[in-house]
Amino acid sequence: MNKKIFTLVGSPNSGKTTLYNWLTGSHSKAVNYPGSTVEVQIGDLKDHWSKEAVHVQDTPGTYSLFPKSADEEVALKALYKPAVESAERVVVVVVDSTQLERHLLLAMQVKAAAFPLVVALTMHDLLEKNKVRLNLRELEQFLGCAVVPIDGRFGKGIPELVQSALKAASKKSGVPLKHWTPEQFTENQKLTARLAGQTVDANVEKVFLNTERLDAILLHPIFGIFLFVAVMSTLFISIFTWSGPLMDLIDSGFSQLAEIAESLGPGTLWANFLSQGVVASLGAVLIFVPQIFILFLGLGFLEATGYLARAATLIDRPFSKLGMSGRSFVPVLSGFACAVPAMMATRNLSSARDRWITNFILPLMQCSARLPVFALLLGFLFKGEPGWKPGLAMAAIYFGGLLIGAIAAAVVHRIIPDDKKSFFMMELPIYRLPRPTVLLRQCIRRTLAYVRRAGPIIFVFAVLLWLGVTFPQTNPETQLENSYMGQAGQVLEPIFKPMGVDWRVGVGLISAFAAREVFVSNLAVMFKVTGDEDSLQEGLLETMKSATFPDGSPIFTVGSVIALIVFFMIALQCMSTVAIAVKESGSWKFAMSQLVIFNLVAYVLAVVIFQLI
Amino acid sequence: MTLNKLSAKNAKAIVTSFQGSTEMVERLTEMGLHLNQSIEFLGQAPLGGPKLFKLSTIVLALRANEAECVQVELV
Repeated sequence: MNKKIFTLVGSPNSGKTTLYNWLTGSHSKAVNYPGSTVEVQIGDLKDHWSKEAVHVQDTPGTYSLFPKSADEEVALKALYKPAVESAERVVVVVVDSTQLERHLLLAMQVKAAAFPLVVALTMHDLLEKNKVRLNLRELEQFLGCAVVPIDGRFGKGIPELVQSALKAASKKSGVPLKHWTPEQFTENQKLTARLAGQTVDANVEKVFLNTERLDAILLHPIFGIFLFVAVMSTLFISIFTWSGPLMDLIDSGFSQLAEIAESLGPGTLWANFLSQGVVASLGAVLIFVPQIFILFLGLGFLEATGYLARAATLIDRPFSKLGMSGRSFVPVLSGFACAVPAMMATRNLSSARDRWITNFILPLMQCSARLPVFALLLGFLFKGEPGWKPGLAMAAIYFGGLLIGAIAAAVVHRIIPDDKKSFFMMELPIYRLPRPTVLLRQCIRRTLAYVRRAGPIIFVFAVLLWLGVTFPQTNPETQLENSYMGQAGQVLEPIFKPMGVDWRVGVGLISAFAAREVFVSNLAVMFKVTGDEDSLQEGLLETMKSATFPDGSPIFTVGSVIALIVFFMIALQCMSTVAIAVKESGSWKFAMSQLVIFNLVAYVLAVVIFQLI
Repeated sequence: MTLNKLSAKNAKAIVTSFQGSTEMVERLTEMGLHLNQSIEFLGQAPLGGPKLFKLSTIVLALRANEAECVQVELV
């Protein structure tokens, strides 16, 4: 390839991601999850900035070229070896102009490592608003490169930045930078302090007054906690209420599509594959998109305003008692939607031990895939009773998951040896109002990234499941019993029996490894519930009521249903989570122990509960 | 005294030296703390959480053990 590549590097909160969005628009290839840019992103420079085709690479935020956490290591690697081949390179160091003294250190390191560079000065509008002038000429002389102020809200300065970067690009790559000694740090800091002191007026402090005032309320010992609970509750309530109509729409849309597919060739294998194998599986993947989207939107908003850093600060003390860190907060929060992006977000933790514990307990956060399962089971327990009862039970399940997670973390915290490397050290950015379009674009990209990552796995397993229940082909009446899945279920029945369920529910439990929500649709298949999709839940509840073991005793009792709920709360029935756990921990041992421990504990607890009730 | 001992709201101090692991001190430096830096105590996060400090134009939240790595003198 003979394209040029711009690599963006900058400290967290430097405005790097906003610049990336301006440069590339909404077209971007790699993944980006809330909390931080945890993977390198590659996009193409929008052609209205330059006729020349250019790659743009965004890296996770880093304070220096001497990495202290996994995401900073990713940034360093991408700097020296960009994710795509290129002919000429240039590093764009993103520097917050209100933080010159610190952020210039990173620019100096990039320069010391002999990379061709340009500096993008962000937040310049804030300085201008407060009539603070920077001496750009002096900065350029000091760094020996172009320094271009940009406005992250309106895109001012970006054409100039692109031109300077194109001019600076060269075939040269950086050389490894020797670790600065403490003396060198002090020496260089004096230099940047002198520069910042000369260039930044003391007026800059004005900008921070509002932030200080807000912090006095948002981090107040009493109001702070109250507001934290209020903000998080609002986020959760919106995830579940706003997504409802959209999820219903997707659900009914896909069931209509499935019917259409079925009607193309009634009774034929290919039509059945199309409707039950392909369309229904796609539906299973997409049904959670509204929830994920709203979660990402909420997180993105909190992140962009600056509140997320405060929330992490607030939660640091209780979390550190459990062997985690305030930085575990975003992963834990994301875990309520899906453990996959949540595990990726732990890269921001400096201590391997904190990260290990956080990753370990993440599957205990009740992810949205469990929601339809709980809805069905609670619907059974509270049939015909007022709506607040199942609502309360659902809340109890969520808090229960959090509590079990806390207990698990506390246990592991005691068992594994201490690690002195746990840092919190959080920079609290100034409060700003995010731009809706930037927020929305970023949120759409994150949601698509999630679908691309989790979708194929769920889809493949759902198709495998279809094959399992469809073959070998026998008499339609006894198809299920004789299918591979049915046979396997019957062989394994002695395992499910102590939980109080039969082989058909067992097959549902196994199939839930593709995606937990598959349990519901699979139960419908196993118990031969027919009827149109709108009344699927009703029909299923009726069937569950009358389902019996061969000896005539009911399968679904209060005891067995509660046992199932507890099983779903704890069991790690998710192949995507296992896959991401292997990748993020870099250890099969970790992922396998997690898989075995969670499922074993879930099983034992379910058996004990069923036997007791 | 160490930075962790600052307790009066808006108490101001000057950084005189660092102690602790190289990595910790390096990260503190990278976050903007350096010798002769003036620093102001803003308060503590709820639940006995990290302490908040203002240095020039940055607000930093530091845990007690992190603040203990910084020696300061009151001004």
